[in-house]
Amino acid sequence: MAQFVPIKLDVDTEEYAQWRRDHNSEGNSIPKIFIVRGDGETLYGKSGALGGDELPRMLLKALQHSGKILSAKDAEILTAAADQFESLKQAGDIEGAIKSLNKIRKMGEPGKIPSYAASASRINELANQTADELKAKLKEMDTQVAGDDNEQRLQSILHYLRLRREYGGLKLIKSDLSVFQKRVTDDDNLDQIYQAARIMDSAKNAKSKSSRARAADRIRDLISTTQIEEVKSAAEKLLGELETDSDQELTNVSSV
Amino acid sequence: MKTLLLIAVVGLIGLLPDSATSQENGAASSLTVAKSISAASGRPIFAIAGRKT
Repeated sequence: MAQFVPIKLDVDTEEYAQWRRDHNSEGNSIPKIFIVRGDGETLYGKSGALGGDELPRMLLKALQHSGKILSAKDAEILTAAADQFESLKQAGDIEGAIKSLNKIRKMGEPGKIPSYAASASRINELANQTADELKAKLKEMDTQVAGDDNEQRLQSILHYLRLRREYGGLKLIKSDLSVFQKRVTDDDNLDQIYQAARIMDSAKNAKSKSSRARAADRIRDLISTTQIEEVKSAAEKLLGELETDSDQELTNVSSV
Repeated sequence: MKTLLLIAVVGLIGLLPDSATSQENGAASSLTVAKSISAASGRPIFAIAGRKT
């Protein structure tokens, strides 16, 4: 019984009248028994006492549909994680927001935490909402790569690679990312753009001086081998930016 | 398991908090508290509705 929150309701109160409006039940006689899940869903509502082992059987059945019960500490952890997720996402740090959910994964995959507690529902809603945002973006990119504008295809695939890095920690959308990637890599022309985009994406994200130098070498290779004009032109532009950054660093060092 | 649950239920029904009493005392409604505990923990509410005697 510790798994339930017990309460006795007086049928002559306004509070009960509201309860009846919120929760359907069978029969009009009293007593009436209700089982209401953490999210407010009525699992049971019937008039009359339950005899024999009917009551414990009904309670056990209700528990099977009640989801995981959270300790106060777990609920607190979920609330803190939801707050942190929202704040990082609002600041534009999607990758950080999704990483911040790692600490609650022992309670279930965000979006599918098997509990009807408010804090779990909030995390699930945030994760599902974020997954839906990505799905909408992938749908848009799907249309863009279907066209014949190689420049737009390249930009879409570069965008996809960024989104994969940012949203990839969310298991809910792994299959959607895979479907888009397969669609791209199954097409010879798109696959060439995809491979070039990977080199360019890696160069854009190279942090150290040595990794930027290696990235610049790969970009030079790409420029000399690609047959796609739009890729060549974008790679040349990126190489220019890498070389400018490198010169800027040398200038900074020599002026110290 | 079923027997234990039945014993617990029978013993507990008489001890259920009365929402109307709490309201009369000026405290927060027990139902409000019950809903809040249920929402926070995910524990379902077990409510028995009857006439106050």
